[in-house]
Amino acid sequence: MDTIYLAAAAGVLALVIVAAMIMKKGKAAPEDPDEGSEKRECGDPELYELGMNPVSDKPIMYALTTCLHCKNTKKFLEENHYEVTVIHLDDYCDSDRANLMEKVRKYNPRGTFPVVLMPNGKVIVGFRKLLLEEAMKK
Amino acid sequence: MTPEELLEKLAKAAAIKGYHLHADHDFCLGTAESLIANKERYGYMCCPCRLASDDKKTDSDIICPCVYRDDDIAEFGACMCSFYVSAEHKDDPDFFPEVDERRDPSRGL
Repeated sequence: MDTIYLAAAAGVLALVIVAAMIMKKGKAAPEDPDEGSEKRECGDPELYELGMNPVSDKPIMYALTTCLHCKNTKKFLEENHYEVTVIHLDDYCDSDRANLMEKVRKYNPRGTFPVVLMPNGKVIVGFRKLLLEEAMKK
Repeated sequence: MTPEELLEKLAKAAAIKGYHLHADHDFCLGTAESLIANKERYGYMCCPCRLASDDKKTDSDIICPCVYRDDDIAEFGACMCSFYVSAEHKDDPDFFPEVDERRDPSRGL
């Protein structure tokens, strides 16, 4: 009889421990909202820093991964032997994305893409072959 | 949906308004791929030439075709991305006009 009581008590104890573990896990969820969900990649931190402090001896281009004019601008610069550092704003999330966009608006208040910062200080908005050629000569 | 299928669908919808897709087919294919990528990322086909806020309500004016398309085509012959063009430019693969952004800078990011 004692064995039955002991087995029942052990069973109840096991249930209590399992319930406590489930409750603990449930309470932890709000502290880490990403737990269990797919984490989104949020851009390269080094490129973010460059985007926020754009000082380089190479052209820097603020762009979107989806923007065909941006791709054509990059291709054009590379065809003219200019290595360009591209910062894709849509690779970033939340405040990083907003901060970079604020930076872009300092150079181009309309906020369109691409925005190319040439090493000589020239700012070229859009895929503008003639302007790019001019800027590359100087 | 493949980019080709999307192009076919968008071309039909544009024709109702008398618009055409750009004459450079590769450019259109690339734009269709970008629209599909945005649909997968945000859940809606945000304009590929503008930065999405990732909030459908905020971006409602720049879901392709954007609300600025009609005015852009009337003034410049193409939308800001040059994806949609007027009948006048439908056969010109080199037509990429500089289209001013009409969107209020206070909207979006």
